[in-house]
Amino acid sequence: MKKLRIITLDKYADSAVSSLHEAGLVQIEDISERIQQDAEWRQILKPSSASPFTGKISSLLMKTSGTVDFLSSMARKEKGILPMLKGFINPPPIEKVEVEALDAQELIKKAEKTLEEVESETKPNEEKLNQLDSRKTELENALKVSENLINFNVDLGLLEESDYVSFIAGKLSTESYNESKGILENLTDEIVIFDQDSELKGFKILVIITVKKHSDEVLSELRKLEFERFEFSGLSGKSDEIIQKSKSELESISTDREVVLSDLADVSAKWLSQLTALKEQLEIEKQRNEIFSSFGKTENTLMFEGWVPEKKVKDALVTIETSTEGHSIVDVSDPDVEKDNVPVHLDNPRFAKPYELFVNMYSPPDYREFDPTILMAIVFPFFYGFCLTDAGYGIINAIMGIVVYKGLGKNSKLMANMGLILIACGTWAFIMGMITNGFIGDLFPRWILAGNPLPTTIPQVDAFKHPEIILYLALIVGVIHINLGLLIGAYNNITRGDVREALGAQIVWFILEIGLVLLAVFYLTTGSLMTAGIIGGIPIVIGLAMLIYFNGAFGIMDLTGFLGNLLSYARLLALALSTGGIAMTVNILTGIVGSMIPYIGIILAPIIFIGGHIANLSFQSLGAFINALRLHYVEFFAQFYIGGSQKFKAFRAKRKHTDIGGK
Amino acid sequence: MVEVALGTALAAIGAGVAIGFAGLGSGIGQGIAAAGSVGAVAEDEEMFARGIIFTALPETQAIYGFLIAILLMVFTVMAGKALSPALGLVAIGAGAAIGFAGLGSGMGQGIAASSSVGSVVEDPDMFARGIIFTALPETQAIYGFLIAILLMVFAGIMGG
Repeated sequence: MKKLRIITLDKYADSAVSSLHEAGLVQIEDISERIQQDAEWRQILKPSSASPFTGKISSLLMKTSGTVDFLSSMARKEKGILPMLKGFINPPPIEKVEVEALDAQELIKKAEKTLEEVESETKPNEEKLNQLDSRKTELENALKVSENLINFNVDLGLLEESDYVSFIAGKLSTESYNESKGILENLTDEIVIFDQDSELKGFKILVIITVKKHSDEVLSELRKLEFERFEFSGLSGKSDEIIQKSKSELESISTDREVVLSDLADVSAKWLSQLTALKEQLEIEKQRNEIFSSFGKTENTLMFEGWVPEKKVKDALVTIETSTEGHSIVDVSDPDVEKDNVPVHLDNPRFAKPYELFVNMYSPPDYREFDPTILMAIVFPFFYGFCLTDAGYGIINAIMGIVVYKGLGKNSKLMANMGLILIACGTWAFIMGMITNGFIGDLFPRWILAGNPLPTTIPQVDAFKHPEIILYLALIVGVIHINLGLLIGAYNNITRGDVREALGAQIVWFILEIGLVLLAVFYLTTGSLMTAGIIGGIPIVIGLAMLIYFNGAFGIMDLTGFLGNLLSYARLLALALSTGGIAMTVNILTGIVGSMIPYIGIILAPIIFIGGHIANLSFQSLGAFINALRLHYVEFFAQFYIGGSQKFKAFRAKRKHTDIGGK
Repeated sequence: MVEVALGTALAAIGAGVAIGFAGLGSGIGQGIAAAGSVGAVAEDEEMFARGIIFTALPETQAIYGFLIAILLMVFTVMAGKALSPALGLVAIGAGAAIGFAGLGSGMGQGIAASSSVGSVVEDPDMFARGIIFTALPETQAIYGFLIAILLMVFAGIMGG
């Protein structure tokens, strides 16, 4: 990583920022705070501020986003499972709109004009839609009231409130009705209550006629009994007439609504892609205008700082030189690792690139430490395969990986990476399954090979015959993996000049391990515990002494921690057996159902077989993924990882929907 | 009635203990996780899928218990093998190993899963780290499972 300090004239600033934004090579560092706090800097520079167009662009962006959301909700969509499946397996590629390179003012003008045009087409339709919707609500209410009052056979127009008389209609539970009768008749004699049974059992429909001065009291008493009041003002005619009229009008509203929606879908088809492009342009322009607040300025010049990966320094310099027509000064320097918070740009070969996601998820590595992504790219799929250890499930995983890579991966880098990871993981699961006699559990030995294992099986590692061998393998893998971590840890510490830490945290374990190996080898070859004890004991004693010297008396406790880490790798066996065991159980159940239940068994058996294996596959795949990740994060990274740097985030114009014309 | 040897009957107890206790722990754990998840979904509907994943995690213990129970059954009761009473006791030991380890591990994992769901609602970036924290209390179940398998293999109940 190199540090850039760039000074250019005001009038070239826009062009320099735009070019760097499009090139996406440099991470811009905010120096405005430093200028305010550091007296020396303050003498030379003033903090710059975001361009005056930022506010206008932000408000236009909000409006455009709103319109884009509205139009996408109005777009015609294919319904059903098939189009959804097609969208997953083979989604259409994102079509890019070619746009001109515009400055802020031009873009504002363009956005205003486009939004105005779109609005002129959407607004009448939107208003119509609102009118239809509010009329629909009115009609639905009329329908509900009329349906409830149908048994009264009265013209609802007659129930209109007059100067002296009030009409109250509504629904009340039968229990409350009996209670209310007494209460209301005690309240006044100037009241008449008509009731009918509601269609809803246990409820009564009431029409109450009373003198206006009592209506408030009557209502407040009824409310206490959870009375549901019907609003019928404005309705006239008998209930059945209203029902008929409302129903036919609702039908015509529904047709009108379809027409308006279809018009809006046309508008959406016409404008959506253009507006999405406009939204992207505005987003880019907003970033460009806001970045100025990270700069410093003098009367006629602008200064900014940034980080650029070493490989891209040349490109960055050329970009700056061209965009400012040579009117710039660029200072390239090495970062001060002690003072600067240097961002880290992981740069790995293509096959390891997807695994950068996992490393960054934990925490980007420290600037000076070894980037473990390549090791993770090699070991992670192997661990996944070891946990799954089923060739059939491996094939399914790999096929899913290919589908994701070729389908969703077309438009999303993340999905493409996930696809590649799944393919690698599936391949390892296939290999491990083939040598340990696991193919959809014991599918082949049970039904096809008459009890014989798969021909590719290595008899010593047949999972259900010799699980102990697989356990040894898992622990050996653990020893290798942990030692690899210790090796990297020692390298990290030594390159930082921290030899003491390397001795106390990593090298001590190598010495202890050498002692143990010597002890075992000499005991097995000579048969004498004495000789083995002396030869192996010396390094062990040295190791223990170092452990106490460097880590204090509690350093001895690290022994159990180390053993715990090692034993944790036994999960590889546990998960492998668990996949095979549950798959075998599904096969056994399928067999039992198929042979024991007459007729239905033949239909049930395949359902159990497919359902059981889908459930096992998804659960075990999730388990394999999480545990492979855990072995890295908890057991492996604990040996060396420092982490904590900021991730390199280039100042980049993300163009997903647009292309600058002429490019 | 089929004659069952005492050892085989003891192995059946082992199978029962294995899935019984592991299922108990897993069930309590999953209940705790589900309780946390349902609250999270109320705050943010998009938490549904992630809530399901966290709730599914404490099921592993039941799966381990189930597997040991099935293996005990396949190699003893279902194979029609007459086990000696001593081997039957070993089978109980194997069942107890995964049963009780699964009990503790499942409950612990449920508590961790529930808290993780809560933190993911606050900050979606916590998802991966939440999963890792939740995966930690699974280790005890794995130890139990390991001992159960080793007991079965070295006592000769299972394997070649």
